Amino acid sequence: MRKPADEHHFTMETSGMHLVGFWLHVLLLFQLSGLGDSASKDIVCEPITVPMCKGIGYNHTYMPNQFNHDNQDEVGLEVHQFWPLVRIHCSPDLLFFLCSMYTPICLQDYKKPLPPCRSVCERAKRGCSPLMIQYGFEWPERMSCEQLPMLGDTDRLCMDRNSSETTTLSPPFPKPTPKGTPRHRATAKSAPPQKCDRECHCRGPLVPIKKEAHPLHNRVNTGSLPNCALPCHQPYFSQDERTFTTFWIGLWSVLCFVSTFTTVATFLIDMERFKYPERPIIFLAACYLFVSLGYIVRLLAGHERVACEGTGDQQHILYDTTGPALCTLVFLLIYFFGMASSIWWVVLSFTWFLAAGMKWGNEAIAGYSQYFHLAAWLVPSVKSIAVLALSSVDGDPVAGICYVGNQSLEGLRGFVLAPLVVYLFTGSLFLLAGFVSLFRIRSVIKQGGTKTDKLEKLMIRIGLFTVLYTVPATIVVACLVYEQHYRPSWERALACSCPSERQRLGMGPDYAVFMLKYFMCLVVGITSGVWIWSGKTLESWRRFIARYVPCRTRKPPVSASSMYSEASTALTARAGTAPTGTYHKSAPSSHV
Amino acid sequence: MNPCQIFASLVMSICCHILSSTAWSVNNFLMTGPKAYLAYTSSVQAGAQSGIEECKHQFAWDRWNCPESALQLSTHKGLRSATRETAFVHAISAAGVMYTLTKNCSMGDFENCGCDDSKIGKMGGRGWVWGGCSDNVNFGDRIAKLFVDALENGHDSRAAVNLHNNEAGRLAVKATLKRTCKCHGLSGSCSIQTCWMQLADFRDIGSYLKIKHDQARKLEMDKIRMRAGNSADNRGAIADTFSAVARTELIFMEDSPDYCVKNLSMGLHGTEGRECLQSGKNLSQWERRSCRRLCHECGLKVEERRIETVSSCNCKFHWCCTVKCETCTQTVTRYFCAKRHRNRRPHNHSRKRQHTRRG
Repeated sequence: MRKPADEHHFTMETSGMHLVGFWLHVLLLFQLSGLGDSASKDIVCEPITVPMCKGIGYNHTYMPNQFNHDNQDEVGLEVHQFWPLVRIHCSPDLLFFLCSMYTPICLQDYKKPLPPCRSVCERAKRGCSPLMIQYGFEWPERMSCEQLPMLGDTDRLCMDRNSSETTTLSPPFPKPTPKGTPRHRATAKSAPPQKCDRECHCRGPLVPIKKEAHPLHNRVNTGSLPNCALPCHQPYFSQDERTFTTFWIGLWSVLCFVSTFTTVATFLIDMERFKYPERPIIFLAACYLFVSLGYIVRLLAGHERVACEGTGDQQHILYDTTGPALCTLVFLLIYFFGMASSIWWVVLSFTWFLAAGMKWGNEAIAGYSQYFHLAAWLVPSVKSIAVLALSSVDGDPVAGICYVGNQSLEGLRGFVLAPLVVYLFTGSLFLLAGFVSLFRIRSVIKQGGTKTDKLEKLMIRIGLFTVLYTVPATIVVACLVYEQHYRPSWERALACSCPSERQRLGMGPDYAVFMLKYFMCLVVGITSGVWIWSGKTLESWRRFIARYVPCRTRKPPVSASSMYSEASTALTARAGTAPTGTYHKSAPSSHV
Repeated sequence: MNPCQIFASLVMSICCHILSSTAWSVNNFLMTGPKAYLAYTSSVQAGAQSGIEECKHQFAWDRWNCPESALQLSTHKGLRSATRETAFVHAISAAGVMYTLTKNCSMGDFENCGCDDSKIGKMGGRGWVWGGCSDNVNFGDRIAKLFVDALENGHDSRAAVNLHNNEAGRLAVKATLKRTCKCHGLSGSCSIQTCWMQLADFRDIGSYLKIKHDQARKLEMDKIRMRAGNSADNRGAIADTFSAVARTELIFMEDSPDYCVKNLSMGLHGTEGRECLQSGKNLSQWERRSCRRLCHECGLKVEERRIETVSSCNCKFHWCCTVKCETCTQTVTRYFCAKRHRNRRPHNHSRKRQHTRRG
């Protein structure tokens, strides 16, 4: 009912002035309707105006592109940043690839997207990505090749010149000019960035063992690849790092040699001065003298002559060898004397425990010295002979020495890590027991009067030295644990990935860990020298020189020196009747 | 017919506006009213049309497939139904109008509106800031409400339901806004991004409202208070009922009729003769079961028809740069709902069929 009334009202109202307005509205409505129809929002092809992308093979594009650029001016600002790369001709496909991404092709009769093929992207990336990485840029993620269709995909069409059935010349790149230079570059770069395939194979810098006559044939594998050897130098470290390694090892080994040589020489000219329980420090220093000598031999002979075999591209690290004399010599010096030094440290902690904890006198401890020497020299001998018999000596690609366990995890764990852990644990037990006893009997010692001050100081000095030894020893063990845990993955990465990817993912060994290991291996030898830093050393050398020159005429003074030395050993400063008394007192303690 | 119907509705809407004014002079109306309102008419018309097309797509494989009769929002014939499907029509139409107005606003088609720059330059998140041209949905919402709600001039519960569903459609456009970003940085890196809010595809809005259609709620009005008609009590009842419904949900008042059966008085054509999908790749479960839903459950059988189609195939790209396709003729099988024939003239045949049924 209401609507008929409205219609009636409408009819009445239109008569008069409003009639003109009504028809005017209708006219405007029709006009606007026409305008609306013409404004369609479909893809509109427009000529390419970006200067860099003119003449790439097609002339029309549409906006917005996949990067949400609204117009070609915006596209030009961004795509022009790649102009230096295009100019340098790192890849003949780069320009077409960039323009097909930024100014996508627009065809009137084909409305589906038509991106470049994945092969075009991969060719451009292979040629230009290494250059971008040199300047600190990575291949943009939003231009990753994985999102592009494959050539020949029927569902998603794509652009690549190889898909053309008829061979047509590409207008942007005439044949002679770009093909020469890019080929040369490709040849130069063919080895290192071999298009980053993830297939595992014996690729550079690994050394393939191809000849069956090669002594390592079917005997060596890297990253679980058979007949694949590691190169002479650690492939993860750069040339600068290798040079610094040589300097680093040279620095500490020379310092160690000088320090330990001084200590041993001082001991030799005045053997009576160093008695048990401190005497093992001297033997420990002697061991480090020979260890540093092993490193010095490597420095003089060179990395390649000690640790490597072969020539040119076929040069590789030594595996399971006993032949080369230099290699064996360096191995024996470093391994035998290194292990002996560890055992001497255990002996030191044991003798210190006897003296400080069990209140043994130096004479009683000295009575067992032949057993200490037997253990300290025999055990490393057996182990060294075992390593040589098992042909487990191999080259270290970092330090350039020969050792055990560089290429064999079993060798590393069995001959290096396990003994070090056992020695460290045993010595620490003795130290702990000794300190507990020391605190317990502290009051008893003090009751003896001022005579016990020197003894207590000596005990504390030896204990401090022995405890400080545990720091580098623990660090060496930690470095070895780190190395044996990650080495398989390092080797696998060498075989299964390319250098740029390894560098990006950081899947290599930590350079600092190795430098720390070599320093800690030698620092004990350096610090053992502080043991002889005292006025006594000067007196010993002065006496040695005086005794050497007038041998005949001073027999009585020698006797006097020995008497004085005894008094000094007894830890008393008084002469005359005091020495006799002290000697008398010590007899009962040794008896106990 | 559709544009004419909506066009007529719009014209009547504008005329009503003119008639409702009391102090308007012809000059004032021509200077302000026509320019301000006529500028949006084509967008409103195009938006409503896109809503209709989306409705047909969303209900292509339903028994009710958005027939023409449902699109006559205001008709002089018969009663306007307030079913679940009508609720969807109102929502998708309002969404279409708002969508088109907002998009045309961002495209610069209107002089008095532009991008939504309320957030320009502000920090949005880590590594990105607000910028660009955010779609001005508030403008589209305001103008769409002005035009679409003007079609409802009643004050009964039916009008209130329609207005509610109109608002739900507009809220669907806002709910589906998405953030789009553009990268800035040297050599294509994405060191910093500029982001803006952008309308989703209208298909996404249609799918969103289709879910709302499936979840629509039926209003249970107090029948006693409804008798009061257009009185104050009735309006109070309407207000009480609507306050309990979320603005984003669709509501309806009447149950849907049986869409299997033809009912020309209600503008329904039934499912006989409708096409359905039997098999094929990339079919959703709803599409795969369309034959059962449209034919078997409506007492009809599925009839196969072989149709030849011509299409482009084996497209290849030729360097550089053309795409050449072949023209292929394929025979495709399509399925339609057909009546089951029951011929009882031969007595023997009748017996035979009965026997089959027993077995």
